[in-house]
Amino acid sequence: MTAHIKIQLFAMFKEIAGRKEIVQDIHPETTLGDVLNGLAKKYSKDFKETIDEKTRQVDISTLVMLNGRNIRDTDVKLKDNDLIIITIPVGGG
Amino acid sequence: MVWNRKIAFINLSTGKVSQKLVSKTMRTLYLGGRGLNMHMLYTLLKPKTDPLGHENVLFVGAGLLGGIPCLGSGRCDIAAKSPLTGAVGDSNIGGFFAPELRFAGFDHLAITGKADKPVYLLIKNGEVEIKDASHLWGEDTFETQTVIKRDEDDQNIKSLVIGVAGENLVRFANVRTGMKNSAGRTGMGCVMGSKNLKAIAARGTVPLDFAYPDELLEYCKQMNNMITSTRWAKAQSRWGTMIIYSNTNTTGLIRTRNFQLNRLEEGEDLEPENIDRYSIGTSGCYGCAVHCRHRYVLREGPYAPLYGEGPEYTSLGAFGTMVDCKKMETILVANHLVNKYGVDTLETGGLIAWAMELYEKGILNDKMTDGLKLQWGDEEAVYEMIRKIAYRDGFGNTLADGFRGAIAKIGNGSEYYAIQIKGMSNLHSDERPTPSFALGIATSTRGADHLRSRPAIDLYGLPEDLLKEIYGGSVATDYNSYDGKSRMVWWQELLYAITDSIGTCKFQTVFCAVHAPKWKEFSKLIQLATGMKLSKAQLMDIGERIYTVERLFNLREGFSRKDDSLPERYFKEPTPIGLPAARNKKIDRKKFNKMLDEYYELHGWDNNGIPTMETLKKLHLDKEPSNLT
Repeated sequence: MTAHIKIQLFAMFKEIAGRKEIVQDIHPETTLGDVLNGLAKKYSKDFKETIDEKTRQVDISTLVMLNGRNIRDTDVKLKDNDLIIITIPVGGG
Repeated sequence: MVWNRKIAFINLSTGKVSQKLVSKTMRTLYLGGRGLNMHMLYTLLKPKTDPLGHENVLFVGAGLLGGIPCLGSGRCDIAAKSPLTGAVGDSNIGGFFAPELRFAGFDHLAITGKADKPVYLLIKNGEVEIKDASHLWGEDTFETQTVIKRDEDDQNIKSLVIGVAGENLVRFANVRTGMKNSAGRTGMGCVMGSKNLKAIAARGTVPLDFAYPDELLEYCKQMNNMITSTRWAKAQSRWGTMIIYSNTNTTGLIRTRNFQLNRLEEGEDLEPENIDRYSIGTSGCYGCAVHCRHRYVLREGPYAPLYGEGPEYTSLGAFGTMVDCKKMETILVANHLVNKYGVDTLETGGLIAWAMELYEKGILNDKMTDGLKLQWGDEEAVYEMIRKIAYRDGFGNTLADGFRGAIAKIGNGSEYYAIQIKGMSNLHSDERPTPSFALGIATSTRGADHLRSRPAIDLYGLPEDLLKEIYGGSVATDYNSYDGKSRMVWWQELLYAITDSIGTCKFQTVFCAVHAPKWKEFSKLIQLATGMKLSKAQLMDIGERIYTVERLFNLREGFSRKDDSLPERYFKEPTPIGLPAARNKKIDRKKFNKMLDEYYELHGWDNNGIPTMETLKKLHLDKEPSNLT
């Protein structure tokens, strides 16, 4: 059976992609970086700024959460049913 | 700009008004706004003053930088002893009032006594006049402002007003200005009502003389350009603070059905984009380049036509998640109602949600609620409760006294379900997965509150070296961790004390974004505007002084370490749903107490939360009337 992940997009990422949720098939070696690069290629604009070019980690102007936990390491391998949220770090209440 | 602005002392019992300049010494110790208000609150009030008595003093203070064209410099601080908590009463309001007060020649007002009939203050170019407000009594907060402008034949007047809730001494009545802005927390509108003070109107044309006007203007441009280029400011401009909802609700960081769940299921209609159905654009406060408030119109339905502004993220919680209402329209109507009547959105929503849980559990019944069925998701019940609270009608009269008063009346185990600290409701965030947020609401000097210290950037998983650079010590990246989180809370408390004292917006500092303006930028703005040179270390000392004065005030009123805690449910009931990082989380009591010890130490307070003599001397507070014995 094919493994898949769910990606939820908020704020400008949702607006740019024109959708809130993407379900994507993955293979055992798929990393967070693969997913973010794929989205950048497909949607461009703010998606192109999600990875810091110098550190190759998630840029601090983007908030990426893996199963509810913020994540910077783009080398992390994804597994079946992971939920990735891509939004902006904006705080408050 | 600073040195010729005055404090007006107004006694509403005698009608006497006196004025004096704020000394340079006071400026260097407290800046203005909240800082100076807290100094005066502590030194001018006697211990155990009745919050609704003649002796309570209402302080209104513009920030030190009020009127500069950046960072939302229109913030105004309103303070008194709180009739809701008995602790420090203090609330901060945006809009345009504070700059207008400065243009009228004043930075601070200290209002005592009680008028023998409804009055309003007219403050105009160095003069203070007490005027009859009998014709305004009973008017809502919108109409009151309109009538004052008409009566004074001046559309540029800016007013702080109360609605019927303030007149009826609802203990969490707020103070309002314009269509949107509220000094919501701790019941400052109730204090105005107790003084028969319906409004404070300001209008002036006295120029603000900045120390280095050209350089200041250039630097403000830089600040505005920097802020508007960020992604967070763009998002705030587009969706307002509602933007926070999508992530926090999906993750499971939002209390729902009072405190039974931590996510609103099927809550898609509250997603920020849905404001587009009603929005006709956005607007902002004085000196703000972000413009985070929506102007909305309801053209259809039983409450149409209706115009309002906002709503904030907190109102999504107050009238959405906490009471299990799932429609954006409910939020917009309820937001309009609390604004119209002049009651705090958070306290009102928190109390109604609590009452709904009590009703569900049988602690409240139809007889006690005047036949109103307080069932989850019933927006008509929410609207009716807002009205009943504002008018102190029936069961509304019970809730109008806040959690303390209502618990005393209802009893029967109701206290356990109340999500309140020091007598004030928490907002709708669920802090069980985030120990830093939990510590912040526990230690806040004005009761459960996110605006005293919330280190929102804790959610972003920032690298440890960056956190160390910001906070000056080790802080764990993981938001579930307790390590270093006391340092975060302490640091943010000092920063927000400064923000509230210079009169700028918290959203434009390290609340939302790590690279937003902080000490260095504040220091430069203060120098260019006033000529005062204050280093980062000096600003941190001022923040510490302000926070310690608030602590001393509360200690004098009988608060202690036991009040720096959380509702029992935080320790006993784990979060039932949400994503893995937010699910099955509760606060570990032992680790929480360790955080509290560390937090006291960072402030220079002892294990009981009492400032040491060494700290008092360092902050030049050892000669103040501590009255701690």
